[in-house]
Amino acid sequence: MKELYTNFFSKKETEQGLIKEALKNNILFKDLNSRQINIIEKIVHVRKYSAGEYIFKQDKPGAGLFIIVKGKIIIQKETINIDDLNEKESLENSIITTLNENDFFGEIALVESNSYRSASAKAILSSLLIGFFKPDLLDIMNTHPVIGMKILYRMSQVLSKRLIETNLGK
Amino acid sequence: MLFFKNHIQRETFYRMSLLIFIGLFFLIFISLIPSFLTPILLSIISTYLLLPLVNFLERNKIPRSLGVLMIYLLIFYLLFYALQNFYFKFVNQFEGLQKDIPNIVQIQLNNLQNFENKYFNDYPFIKNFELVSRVKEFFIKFSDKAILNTPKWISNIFTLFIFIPFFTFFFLKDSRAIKKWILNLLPNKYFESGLQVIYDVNKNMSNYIQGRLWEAFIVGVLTYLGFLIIDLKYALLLAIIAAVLNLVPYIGPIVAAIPALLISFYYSDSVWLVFFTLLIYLIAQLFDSVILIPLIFSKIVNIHPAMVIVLVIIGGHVLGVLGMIFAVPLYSVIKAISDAVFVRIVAK
Repeated sequence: MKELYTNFFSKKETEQGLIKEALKNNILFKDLNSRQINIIEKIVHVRKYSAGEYIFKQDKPGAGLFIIVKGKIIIQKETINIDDLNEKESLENSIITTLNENDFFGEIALVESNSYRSASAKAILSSLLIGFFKPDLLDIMNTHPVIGMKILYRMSQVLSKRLIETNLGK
Repeated sequence: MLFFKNHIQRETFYRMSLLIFIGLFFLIFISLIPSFLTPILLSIISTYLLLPLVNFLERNKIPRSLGVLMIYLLIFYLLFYALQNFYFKFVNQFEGLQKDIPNIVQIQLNNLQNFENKYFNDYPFIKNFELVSRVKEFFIKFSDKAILNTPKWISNIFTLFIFIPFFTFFFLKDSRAIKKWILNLLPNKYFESGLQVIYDVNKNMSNYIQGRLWEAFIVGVLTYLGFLIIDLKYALLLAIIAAVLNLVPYIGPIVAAIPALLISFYYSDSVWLVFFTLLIYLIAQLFDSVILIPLIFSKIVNIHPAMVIVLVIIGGHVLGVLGMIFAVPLYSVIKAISDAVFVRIVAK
């Protein structure tokens, strides 16, 4: 009986708990109270990816960010190598970074208009992700402006941090 | 690709075939379930109309379900108020017109008969057309059909009055959940593109429907005011007809002018009333096409007028008047979907 219960009810509950926890831990939603987190939870999309599956591919249009609840994701960039000797072109995948639980990626697409993905994201373990997209952000800004403002403030922090990192990298 | 001279030809071919394929799919789908579709389509219209209000209330911290209930109460109150004030006026005009129609028709038939007699000597072939008997036959058939179908119409309207508020309530309250449910059905590969398509289609549809209804409302008010100034009988009824038919592009306004012109012809002592009636329609249409359409629809994709007429005719064949009204927005939905499918999936 207990097994039946865990199979039918508990599993979903723990997944929901995990999602709420992941949202609370994410920097974008850090300023939100639990009531506001509940509102966000109703809007975000939960997706499951199997190992080896692409979340998105390079140069395709993008609409928003993904937060890793469970699993492992690699971000890789395809570059075209031109072999002068044999006059052949070959594609090479170089891994930029590996992301784990509670990391997020693709956030530029959330604010950029007509955004295209600069790299591909691929699951290397079976993964549970939360998707938060531009239409969702616009919806939140329209119906819950306070929540929208808090998210945008954190978003600009993330972007400015990236900017500083890139400048230092030079 | 041997068939195509260059990639542009290939691209055009893919785009066209996608558009046709998705369009045919929609046509078949719609023609299979027309009776079920009417309340759903009308509920979608009212949902798009009321959605900004629900969002406004939510922005002011009123939960969605409570917001929808408040709006419903307000609408019922307004309907009740309108019924109290306008119902008798409307019914009186409608009944009056019902009584007058046979007279109007008879006078026009007499005119036609005179015309036939007058020119019969000079142009004997006119007799072959049998104009009078044909027009008479048409009116008898038409009125028979109208009388026979009245109970059916009433029951249809009654069902609509139950179903539309019901569907609209859930569309308004659960619009997010419905969107999420549709997106959950999509495989991972198409998920992000699907999300963007749904968002674009949604935005276009809501702009289009709100725009068209405002346009119809303004045209109706303008026509009503004009008719009041020239003191035309049945002003309210004719203005309502003008507003509703204005939703059908190009063809609607022309059809709407016919009863008004007939009535003005019947009641006037001089030609001036007919002239002013026509002038009011022309002013309203001019205002619509010069000021309202550029103002309201500047953001919405332009479709060639010839294409619009073709769409309206196809819509009329499949779904009647509702199809004529919905042909253009449905086409833009189909085009948005096929464009998105092309950009995100076929290209590259």
